[in-house]
Amino acid sequence: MADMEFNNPETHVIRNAPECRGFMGIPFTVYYKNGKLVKATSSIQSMAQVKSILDSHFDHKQQ
Amino acid sequence: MPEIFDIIIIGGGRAGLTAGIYASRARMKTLILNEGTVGGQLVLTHEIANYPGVESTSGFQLGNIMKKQATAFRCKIKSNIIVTKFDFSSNPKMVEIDGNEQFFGKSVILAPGEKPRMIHVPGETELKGRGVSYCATCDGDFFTGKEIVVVGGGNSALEEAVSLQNMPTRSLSFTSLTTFRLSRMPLKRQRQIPKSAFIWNRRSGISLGMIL
Repeated sequence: MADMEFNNPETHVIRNAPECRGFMGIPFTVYYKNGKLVKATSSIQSMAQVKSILDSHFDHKQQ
Repeated sequence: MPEIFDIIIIGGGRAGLTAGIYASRARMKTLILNEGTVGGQLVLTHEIANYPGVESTSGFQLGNIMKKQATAFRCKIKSNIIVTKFDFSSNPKMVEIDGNEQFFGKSVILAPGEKPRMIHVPGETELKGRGVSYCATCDGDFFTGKEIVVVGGGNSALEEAVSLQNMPTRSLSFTSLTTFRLSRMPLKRQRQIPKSAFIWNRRSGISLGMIL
């Protein structure tokens, strides 16, 4: 937590993304597919929630 | 022949890490299976001032030190896994993670810890991370200039309310749905809550909605 660079100006791409509008909880997690932002979430997500996003937006196969 | 541990510990928070330190230091083959971040809710705590031997530190740093201690004694730790199955009646005992990997141990210690308690009101799930937060340290900055309500009647709620005093919020309400349960030391911190904050103690209908 102490090393998080959330306030680093370089993160403006994520913080100002329309998909992140209204987010009020860290972490911001954004998912890019072929260079396009396909999903964004706010606050801590469980593994099940992350896997659900990967399964629905990506050709994700569990190894 | 699968590897058999002397002790498998389910949970990598403060209790699990402590058990891992003691077990592995006693030369027991030890494995910690941890669902989330090693340290558990420690990593969400901004300041810890009541851990014996440590005057003041962040929860993240304390959790990190515990992890290093455990691994220094050759305790194995697997994180970001989900325990999907277990059989404690067998010998050795079996714990399965992620639906496909099994571990065997002569003994199992359960240290699963806790998760933030939801109050199960309409809108709570939908607005998580969009106005509903369970960690003042993590998300307090997003509420600059906004009104905040802290819901809870215990020490955790009071400490969250106290930590929010350092942030320029518009107002702060501290409420309990049922009754207040505070130990003496946190009660002293009530003085840190400004007079503009009000404290009321009753159960009322709560629903959450987004103001557009």
